[in-house]
Amino acid sequence: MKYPRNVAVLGGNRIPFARAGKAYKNVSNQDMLTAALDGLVARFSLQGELLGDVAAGAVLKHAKDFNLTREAVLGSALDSRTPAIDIQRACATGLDGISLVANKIALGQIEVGVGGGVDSTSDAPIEVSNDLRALLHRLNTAKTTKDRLKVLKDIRPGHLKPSAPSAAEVRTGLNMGQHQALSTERWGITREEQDEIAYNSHKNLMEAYEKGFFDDLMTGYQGLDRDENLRVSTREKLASLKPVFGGSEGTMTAGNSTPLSDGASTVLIASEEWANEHGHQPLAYIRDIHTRSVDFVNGADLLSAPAYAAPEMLERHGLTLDDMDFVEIHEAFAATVAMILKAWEDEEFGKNELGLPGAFGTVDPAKLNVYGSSLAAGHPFAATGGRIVASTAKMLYEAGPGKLALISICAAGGQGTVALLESAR
Amino acid sequence: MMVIEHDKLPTFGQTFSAAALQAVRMKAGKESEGTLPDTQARAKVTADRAVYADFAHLVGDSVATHLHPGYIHALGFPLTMSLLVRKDFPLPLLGMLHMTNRVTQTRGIEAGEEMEMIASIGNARPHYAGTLLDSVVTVLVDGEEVLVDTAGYLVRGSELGGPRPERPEREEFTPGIPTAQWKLGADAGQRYAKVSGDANPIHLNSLTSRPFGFKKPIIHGMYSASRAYSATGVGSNGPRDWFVEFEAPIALPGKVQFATSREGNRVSYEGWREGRGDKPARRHFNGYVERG
Repeated sequence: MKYPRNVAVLGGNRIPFARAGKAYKNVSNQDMLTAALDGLVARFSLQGELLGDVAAGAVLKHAKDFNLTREAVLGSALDSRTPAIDIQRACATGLDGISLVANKIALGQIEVGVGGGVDSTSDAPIEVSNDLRALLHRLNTAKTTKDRLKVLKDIRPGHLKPSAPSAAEVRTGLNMGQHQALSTERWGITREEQDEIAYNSHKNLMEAYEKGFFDDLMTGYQGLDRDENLRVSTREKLASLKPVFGGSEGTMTAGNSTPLSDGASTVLIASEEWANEHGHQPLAYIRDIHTRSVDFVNGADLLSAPAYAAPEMLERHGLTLDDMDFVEIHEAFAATVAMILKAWEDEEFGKNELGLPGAFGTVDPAKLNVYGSSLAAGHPFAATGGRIVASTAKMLYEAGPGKLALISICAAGGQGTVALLESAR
Repeated sequence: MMVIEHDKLPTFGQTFSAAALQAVRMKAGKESEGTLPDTQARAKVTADRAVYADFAHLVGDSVATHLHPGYIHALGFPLTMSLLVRKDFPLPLLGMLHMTNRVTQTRGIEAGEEMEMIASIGNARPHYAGTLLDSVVTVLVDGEEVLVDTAGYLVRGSELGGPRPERPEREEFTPGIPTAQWKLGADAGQRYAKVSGDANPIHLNSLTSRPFGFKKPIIHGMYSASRAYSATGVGSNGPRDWFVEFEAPIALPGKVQFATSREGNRVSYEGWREGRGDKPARRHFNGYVERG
């Protein structure tokens, strides 16, 4: 399985990720996406450039933002005739935006585009209640003052209570954390395992900043020049936190779960021809992207879809985990990463779920999330894909020719999108 | 020259009550038109991110790294006011009309940068309806001049600028095709007052505007200018030359026809009121933004 044409990642730009209600509390999704996009434009001299397409989105989106990405393009320094599309697949939105643009390039429909995403929990939409909405629509269609008064008479104080979005699954009523807590228990994942993943995430991200790794991947915004959630973390501090999911005996804490965040990311993707013409060195090639979902409504682990998607994708290329030089598993929760790794190492899972002769394989810890991931950086849902793809592409380029990386992102709705990247050096 | 250092920007309320006292004082006193005093007011100012975000959103911009020059004008405005209401200033502030505004910047100013603002009033010259004068706010960052904001004001009936010329013929205005339409609600002035700090009663509601000769409140000139600036889409991240001329006030609530046109590095704009019946179309403002 090969793309008809090489699809090159030329680089990316994101703004630092902020904690909810902090540095970006005054700004909107459109502000953040525009800022990330304009940083990319500046880095790659795209002022006035007409791109083939820009695909991005936000998971938490106001109704008025139906054309969010196009509005960000119009507000950016790109040629305003550049088209744009809004997409949404929960936490995989960013990676799927990249996928959409990559596919167009692979098919020769366009030469260059941008994929990315943005999310704000600080400015999450708040809606009126269903009852009030129905009344307001009635009020709108009422013809006479008498009819209007009749509608107004039906409004009760209880109707005025607004409803904020929650991360709960519609069909199960459980939120992400509660779902993961069930999976954490089922897979027997310990507190220590989770805290170690969280500790490494902060340690690795801090090292990446100290090395200047993000200097050409990020532009400061609103006075922030690094991810707001990043801290000098100690194992003792992590061990001292109280559980937030799974009851008093739970193992999931605020330290080993991702914080609610705000941020945006963009990735520049092009054909090799376009890259050459414009004098940009490709960092990595996107070899494949694949999505799979699981039947969590009937008991499958909500965030386990990547455990299926990755083996399916790698099999298409005759590759295994051992062939990977980097493995990037989005840290929705530390327990999610531990669960996916355990599933791949599990004989039964390999046989029964993946149809393999045995376990799918083991990830060498030295290859896993080497520059930190969402636990340290934060996780503005739709912005995570762009963060991981741009960083991974740069890691691959630095690592040298032929190096391969697997990217895995779990998403609400029991979904998971994975990608295979190869160094372009 | 006298220099007045402000540790903190004077508030609009303070300067406006001083303006009211000044008006009373001038009514009681004789027409004493002397010369403009050579006074400077200085203050160090840094943008408030939350207020700035509201400003940018209100004038149709997104919150970027660099400040919208309309916001910088709003920041410097109290400093200008503090000079206009001083006892040694010979003309009444109340009733002054904002006729033109020009901002030239050599580079974009980032939201986190501390700006040193220097305000002065000068360049009195005659106008058919009175005296024109310039209120200049110069903005320095790290001691380097990066922005000059020049507001042209008309003091009606004043002879201070010298003998007044004849009133020229008003140019015929033929509107083009609008590229956008602005719908301004009755509260548009209140909203802009909140983000700009300019709570001049003529902009707030009909009760407060009436004593000043406006049956209905009118929108701030700098709201229209700032919104027009955003609409040109040139951004604020480099050298810019921005000009606006105010021709007729926009009463609230109101509808404005708006058009931009691009020519090289310059985007011109104008806003007007549609003609209705035998009332001809009337231009509210026109101007341009040019990339340096």
